[in-house]
Amino acid sequence: MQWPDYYPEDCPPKDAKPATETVYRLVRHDPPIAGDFQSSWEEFPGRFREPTIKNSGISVYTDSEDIPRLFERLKNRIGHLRNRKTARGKLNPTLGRIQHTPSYESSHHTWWKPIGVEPWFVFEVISE
Amino acid sequence: MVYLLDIPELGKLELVEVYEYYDQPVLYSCKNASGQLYLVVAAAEDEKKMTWLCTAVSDNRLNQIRSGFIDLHDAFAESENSYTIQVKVPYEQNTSIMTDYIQSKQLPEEMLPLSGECLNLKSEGPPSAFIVTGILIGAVLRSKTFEIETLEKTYIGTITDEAFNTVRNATLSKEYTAELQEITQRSKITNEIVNPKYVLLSLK
Repeated sequence: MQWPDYYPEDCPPKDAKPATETVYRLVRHDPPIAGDFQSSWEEFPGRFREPTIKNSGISVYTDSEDIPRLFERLKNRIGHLRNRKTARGKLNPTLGRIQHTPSYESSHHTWWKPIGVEPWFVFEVISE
Repeated sequence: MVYLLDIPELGKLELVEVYEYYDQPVLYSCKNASGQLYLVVAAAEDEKKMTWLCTAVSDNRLNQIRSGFIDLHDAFAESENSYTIQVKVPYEQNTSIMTDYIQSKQLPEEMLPLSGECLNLKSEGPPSAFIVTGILIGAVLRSKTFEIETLEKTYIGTITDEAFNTVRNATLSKEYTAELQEITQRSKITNEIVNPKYVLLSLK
């Protein structure tokens, strides 16, 4: 599995696991496209002081029951996310590695994508 | 914090507390080198840029925002200084960040958190640092996590970049004096703080 050149050393972390979960993410497009799965580092090249394990990954959530409440709260509070749609995707190990990172939300996971994969094909928008 | 966007007009910023995280901190408080606190929210996006709102807050006002006495909408729309800094960050690499000072009452509603959205954090004030003396019983450099055991309890959390080199050269099972800051984790059911974690600011 080949990782982007900008990934810092030890990224993904050694204890990140092959991705197999069904995950949820807020996307801009229906159907989702490549731009919906960029890390903050990719989305804002050069804007951060340096690439980190965190800004090299993307946020996904696993708790299907909690998703409506969580995404509604995010949209209510964060104008930047207000017009996004809820997408669901079943990951598989070819799509990268994932780690449970619950610091800010219990079902939050960080997902790191290798070069050359097209994860948007496994995602579908399930609600506006 | 290295994953914080640089906003030149605000000076060198240090993250104080993250309230919402999505790919990056999207609602957070931070302070600059002179100690001025700011509340920052990711306000809007289009095909070319992302827009952030930053409003200066006093300690007292941040406490009121954290407790829910002031909702997130009014935190920006009724700001103490009556203006808010709007920061437009283009996606394109070689373009400048644009900063405007806007009368808070003139902020577009669609950029603001909805009225009635409150943080409702129970603890008083932004977390302050505290000192403990204990045994460094664990440190994982790749995930930047630490574990320090004192007589009273064991502190587990993440290592800041500022403390990273010290920890890298530290010896496990040796006693150190650590400067820690508590960060919070909320219940998904009640939104209340349920699981304190810590960041290691320095180690001596």
